[in-house]
Amino acid sequence: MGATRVGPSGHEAGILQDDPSALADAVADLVVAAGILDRNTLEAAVAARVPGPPPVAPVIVRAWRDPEFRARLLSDAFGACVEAGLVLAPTWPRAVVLDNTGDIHHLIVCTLCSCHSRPLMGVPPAWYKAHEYRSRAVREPRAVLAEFGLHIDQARPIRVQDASADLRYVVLPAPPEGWDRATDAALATTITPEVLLGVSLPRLG
Amino acid sequence: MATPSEPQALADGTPVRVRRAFPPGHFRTPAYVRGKLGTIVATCGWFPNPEELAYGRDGLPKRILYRVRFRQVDLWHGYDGHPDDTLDIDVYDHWLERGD
Amino acid sequence: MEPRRHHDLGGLNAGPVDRNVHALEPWEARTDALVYLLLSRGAFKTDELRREIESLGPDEYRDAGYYHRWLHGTVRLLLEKGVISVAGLATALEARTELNGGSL
Repeated sequence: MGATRVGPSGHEAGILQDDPSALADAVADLVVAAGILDRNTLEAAVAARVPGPPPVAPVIVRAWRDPEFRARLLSDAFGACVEAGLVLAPTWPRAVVLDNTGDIHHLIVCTLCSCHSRPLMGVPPAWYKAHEYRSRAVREPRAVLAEFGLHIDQARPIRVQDASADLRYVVLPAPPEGWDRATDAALATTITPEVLLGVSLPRLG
Repeated sequence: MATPSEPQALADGTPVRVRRAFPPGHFRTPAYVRGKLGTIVATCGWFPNPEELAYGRDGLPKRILYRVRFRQVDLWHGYDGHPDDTLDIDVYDHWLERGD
Repeated sequence: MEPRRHHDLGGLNAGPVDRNVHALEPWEARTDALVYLLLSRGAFKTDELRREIESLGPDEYRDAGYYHRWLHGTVRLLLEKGVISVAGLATALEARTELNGGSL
């Protein structure tokens, strides 16, 4: 029950030893009781946090099919996403889409915490939030990508984007082999958080 | 940073050096770019200052946020990737000084 | 070498990336939902949460998981802002610990 003990240094004495499940439930109970959140909204939000395709997946597919839409996505990501039917609250941090279809391979990291575009990508994978990736992606991107099985040609420059401030980033990958014969639904399944962060390439079947 | 000043807009292509500072409190400029020379590649917009927001203040006046590009070989001793490998990071104006 | 705080990881040596993908634990999903909803209601700001997380000691920061850090920061902010009280939290935590079958 260290959550309520504040030590002289200002650090909680024992919060990390608490049963996080009970603590999360207790905090939820209190904010519901305080009228800040209502129980149904909270439970619906909890239930929605299951693995699923990134919300931006169909938008990426449309960008592959439609060059004019692709240009709009690259110049105004939120505008293009709204045009494609995504619902984006005005409070979400703006996102920028980086073009991985050209000469440069982009890789996204947040070295100071784990910034990511929640409304476009969904919940990020655990590795994105882990010390190893946050430490190494900026200094040895090729070695990190190789661990993901992605070997970028030595002749192709890599650009790392450190999401340090108010903007969030996802990449527009090159479409997979055979994309022109695939359905939109099949193409959308090739878009994963890994693909959107630049550590993996979309692959059909 | 201690002394907020009226931000002066910097054009794309301007060489900039990230200030070497280590203020108390919360800030968004990582150690690995402080003191390094880069180039402005975009103006991201005006945003409330996170160093003030972190303490429940309004973050005003807003600061200009720039995207700054660094050559990886300028950031890391012995970097052995492609010589044109780069790193982009968004830095608030009060952390930048002209690098020319 | 520039001085750095312990949350400032860029460029440090570290081991291989663990690429295993797994679903959130139920309490992690609850914490995630709580944080996003509280942010959207203006209960606190992202930078306030970051500041609280950075105020963890180096060992705690390293050893705590991502959502443990979030939960810690959220509790601290809600206490500081007077949204919840120390006594109220103790009572709610006790009730939940009992309900969830654990013991204090």
